[in-house]
Amino acid sequence: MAFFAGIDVGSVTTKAVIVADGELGVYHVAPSGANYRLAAQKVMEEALAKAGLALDDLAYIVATGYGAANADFAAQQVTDISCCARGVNRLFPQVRTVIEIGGQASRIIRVNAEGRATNFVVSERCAAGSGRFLQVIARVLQIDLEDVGPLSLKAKNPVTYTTGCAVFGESEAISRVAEGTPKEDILAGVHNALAAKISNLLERVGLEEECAITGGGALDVGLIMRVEQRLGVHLLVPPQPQITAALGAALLAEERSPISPA
Amino acid sequence: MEQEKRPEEVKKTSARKWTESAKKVRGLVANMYLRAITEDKPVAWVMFTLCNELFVAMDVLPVYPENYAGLCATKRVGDPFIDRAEADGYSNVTCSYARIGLGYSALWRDTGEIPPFAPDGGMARPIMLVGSSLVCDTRYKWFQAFSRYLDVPYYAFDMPGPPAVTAHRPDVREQYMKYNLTQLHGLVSFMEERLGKKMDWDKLDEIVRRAEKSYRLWYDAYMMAGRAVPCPFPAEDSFRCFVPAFFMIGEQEALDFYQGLYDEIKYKVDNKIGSLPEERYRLLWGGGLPPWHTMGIFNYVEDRGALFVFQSVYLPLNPADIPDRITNPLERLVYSRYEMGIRRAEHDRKLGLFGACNFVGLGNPLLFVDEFKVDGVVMHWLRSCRGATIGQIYQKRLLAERSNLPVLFVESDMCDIRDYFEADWKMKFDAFLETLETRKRAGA
Ligand code: SF4
Repeated sequence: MAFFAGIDVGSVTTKAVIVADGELGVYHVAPSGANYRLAAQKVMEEALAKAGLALDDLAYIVATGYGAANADFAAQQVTDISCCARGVNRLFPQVRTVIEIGGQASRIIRVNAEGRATNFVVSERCAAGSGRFLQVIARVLQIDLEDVGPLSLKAKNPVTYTTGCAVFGESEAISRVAEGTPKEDILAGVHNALAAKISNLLERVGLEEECAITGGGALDVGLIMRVEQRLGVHLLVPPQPQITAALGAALLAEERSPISPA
Repeated sequence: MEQEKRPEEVKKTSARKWTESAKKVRGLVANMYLRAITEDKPVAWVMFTLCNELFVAMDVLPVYPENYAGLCATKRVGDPFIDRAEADGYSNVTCSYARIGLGYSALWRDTGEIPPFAPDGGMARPIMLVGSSLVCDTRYKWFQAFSRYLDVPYYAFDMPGPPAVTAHRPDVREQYMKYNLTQLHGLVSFMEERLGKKMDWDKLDEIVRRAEKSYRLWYDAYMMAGRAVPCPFPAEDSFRCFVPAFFMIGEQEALDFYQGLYDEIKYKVDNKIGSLPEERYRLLWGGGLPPWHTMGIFNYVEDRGALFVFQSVYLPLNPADIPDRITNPLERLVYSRYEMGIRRAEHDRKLGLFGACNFVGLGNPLLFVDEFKVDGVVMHWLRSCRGATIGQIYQKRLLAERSNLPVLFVESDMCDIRDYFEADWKMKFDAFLETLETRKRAGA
């Protein structure tokens, strides 16, 4: 049996996936930190350890993400747009639109039946359009990122942010805290702001159902709910949404490898 | 943190030159600044304002701060000027052309000398500043501020383009022409006063007619290149070759340049000499000024089999046939500007659009995608230029509705390299080309 791997070196987390015969074997996720090269190495080592394999056992590796160049053990680099499309297609072949919410940017990807991207749009280089906005506000509210979603579901009066900027948004959150606004209302407000940005992005490439949400942002149940409300569609969520691009990279490794799977 | 994530820079910041004409532009530009510094002639700092002919006729050497800002950006020496302007309180979203010029002026005022790191010897000291309402709102204030820094008089005139809907009505046309003529007469009077001499109208007539010929050659050469498969004259070359038309028009040198460009492109088109061995994807640079700080990025795309066969930003002005009865050179100028504006509106009307052109220098990408056999369109969001950025989403929507062509948005700024994130650009270009390939295979 031949093994293939994909590694997604993202701005916030690094993810490695190992596949065999086109099936997800193991994966590992860890923060990217400030040294992408080290993160890529460590995450790959951890994934290999989980699979009981050595680097030499991998027939082909594809790297993706902003820090892909740091995964010098990979044979090829492929964009995260293509990897994400391929990964989603394996999980949900019926999906034609993917909303990917990453730490650095959000992306909308239109996918065809073969799992290839046919169009895409990336949010502006502005933290308010990405998962970074949530991190910023979670820090202000002194809560863990994984608690953001569940807590936000309790919101009764989501605040309306008067700004589309994460820096001003942070100040606004601080003033709301000072006014005694409940944390859940502040968080739901952030979700609404992000949902609005995503909806604007979608306008540019069009929404064709079915639709999936991936990336670290898809771990946040509150955000998913607000995006669904805003768009009026049901979103399919992969079981491990943040590894979708790494999975796609692994599948592409299998496809592009000169060694065909045994 | 941002710094750490910044990728390896494009080693060479300028782009390859594909035509002999493009190779000549650098020398013309250097000479323009050198002459202003060394020749004993009055210098004016001028905005691109479609009346260079007047300066040539009055023997004034015009210097264009927006061109100079682009030069600083290509040489990556713009930062100290930008920093100086921002130290005086100019926001980082004020036009970076303006910030570079303002920083330059502030540094000059600080030390009484041309900043030593200014490329091409710097912009010579002007005796007058001239601008107009053409293009964008930043411009009025920008040159007013120059005037204060340098203590040099500023003349601003109004230059409205034809109204999109009623431009054809004879009464509207007459009123606009009259008004624009009055404005140009005002400029001539200002120049005469500053220079202490009168306009030589015969000389101006000769210069205006020379400019008309140059404009026609410019237009014909660009359009011929865009249509050609393979394309011998990619966008990065055309981003160079507009310079004589914008900043030297009326000079014999500009006419010679466009004759040479026309001949060169015609020869290549006739002989099917393209730029790339295979044009896998033909792209249109369909909005936003180019990243002057990193023009080498065009080569990144070319190395992946894609060529920008046209740019619809510094669009050649569609020359008008001026009736023989119009003999006054100022009237000829006004007539041709008005007609050029009408033609643009006319194109939009044919497409059933209204006001799809967002900027005097910008064309609607829809006009070119079929004729130039374009596979995809790239638009550049400029952080500090609203004029060339507003309308891009609308244009993208039109493209989606009427041509189903994909559009890629990239973000940075024309001059401020701090807004440029190369990994992001490369990732987007890579992904865009992958989607074009998918579409190609699917026969979309
Ligand atoms: S149009 Fe853009 S680049 Fe030109 S002056 Fe205005 S802001 Fe600056």
